[in-house]
Amino acid sequence: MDSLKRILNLVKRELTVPFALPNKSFFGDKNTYSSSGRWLFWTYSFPFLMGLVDCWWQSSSFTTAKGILYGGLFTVAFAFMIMREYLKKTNRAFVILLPASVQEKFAAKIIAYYVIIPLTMLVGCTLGYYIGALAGGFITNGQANFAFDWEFFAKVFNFSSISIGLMCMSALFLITSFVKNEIVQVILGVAVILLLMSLSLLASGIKGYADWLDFSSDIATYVVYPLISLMLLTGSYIKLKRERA
Amino acid sequence: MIEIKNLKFWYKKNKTVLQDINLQLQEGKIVGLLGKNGVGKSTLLHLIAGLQFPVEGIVTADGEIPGQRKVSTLQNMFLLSEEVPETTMTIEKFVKINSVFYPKFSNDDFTSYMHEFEVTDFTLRIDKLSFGTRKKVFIAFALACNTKYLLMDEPTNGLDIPSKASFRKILRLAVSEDKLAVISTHQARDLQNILDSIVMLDNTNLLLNADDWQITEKLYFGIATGEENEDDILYSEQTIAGNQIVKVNKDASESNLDVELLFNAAFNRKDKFKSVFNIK
Repeated sequence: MDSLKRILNLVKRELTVPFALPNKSFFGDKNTYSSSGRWLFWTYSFPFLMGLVDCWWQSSSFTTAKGILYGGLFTVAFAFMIMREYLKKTNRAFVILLPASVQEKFAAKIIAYYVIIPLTMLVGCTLGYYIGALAGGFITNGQANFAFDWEFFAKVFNFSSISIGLMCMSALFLITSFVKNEIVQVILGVAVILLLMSLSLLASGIKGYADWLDFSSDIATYVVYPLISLMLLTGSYIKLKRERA
Repeated sequence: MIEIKNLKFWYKKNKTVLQDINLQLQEGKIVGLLGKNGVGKSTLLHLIAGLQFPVEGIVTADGEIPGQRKVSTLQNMFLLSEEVPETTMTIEKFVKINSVFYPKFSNDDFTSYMHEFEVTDFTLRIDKLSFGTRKKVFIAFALACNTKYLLMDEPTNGLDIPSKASFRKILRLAVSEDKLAVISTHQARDLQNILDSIVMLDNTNLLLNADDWQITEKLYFGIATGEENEDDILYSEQTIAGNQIVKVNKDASESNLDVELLFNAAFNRKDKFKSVFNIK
């Protein structure tokens, strides 16, 4: 089997890997596993409910951007939860010893957690919100409220948000590679995301006041954040190469 | 061949788990890895598989270092942990996804081993199976991978009595002349009729590394006649049939190896045992 086939099969395996429900694992029942499918269903259902509530009780109009925003938030949380699965002892040992190189395993993880899961989540959550919003609109007015808020979409889904999102994911990747304790992982994960989000808000907030601030903000978005992501990913890779693969 | 040279390993610097282990394990054998709790049996299996790295010394499989985790090495090795992964996949899906990594995996072998274990429905979800049945799935998968080196950590834990017999049968069939199985176990009696060789660990060191015929050449296992020299008896145990003993086999008598008695003899009179097998 050549390298590409191995990577594709590893991706397939990553996407079907079971993972513990975090709440239950916190309460000591670490053997309660759930499927990715069930999690996807529940995460899609939240944007659906949000859409429904938005367009029914509050009679506001449907926005694709909101769906994407919710989808993005759930994506980070979801990816974090799955990444934590690497630290489950038996499954980790099994994966480490699967005949594939460290590079292939790392590539598979990047494809699974940086491409497939985020895209699936974004599409799924957006659709979830869309269907919820349609249903809410029909209940309220007998017709859907269409208002494609692309301006809002552009604000939410620009290079800055992609850049900060990648940095958050890379940080989570690094945390799950290095920290063994689940509770410390979650605390660190939340702290790092909040810190990075604040940095991002700060970078965008300072725009418009002075040229040099604009320049600094752009440097952060286009150079500093991607560089930090790259460094975090390199750290994870080295750690994986040394210990876990 | 698996070769271990001057192996030293610790998890914490002040507590050495394995020290100065030298071992050569040849294909064509089923090797029993014995030792008390916490002596480092699972650690040794992990070191052989490349899950852990030696602090000093070297572990090689056919000249390659398993810790480097090359595809070529990993394709030839399967470690079956004591705890098996709990997955929401069905048996058939698990096999489909994971078997592609092992070039010598045989679906026919897997099916026949599963039938031997009386598990015929492959559409069952693995996490819904009992621990014993889950273990059967992973044992069958491990054997069907047809890897050159098969490392098993307490494989009979959780298996019922008929399944232990099935396990012995299929393991004997699966381990051909070009394969090596290393089995760490506390259930010595479950496996004693199929072990070709015994490796025993004691407090960081090797206490025994010998084939079954070498053991029965040097030790006699049987019922005491009352004429034995006290100093030659390494261990005795009262049973309904009489006083079962392990003694130094000075008159080249033939007897069958009893792994549990051997283990007790080794720890009962360690110095004498070591001198019989010329272990420093």
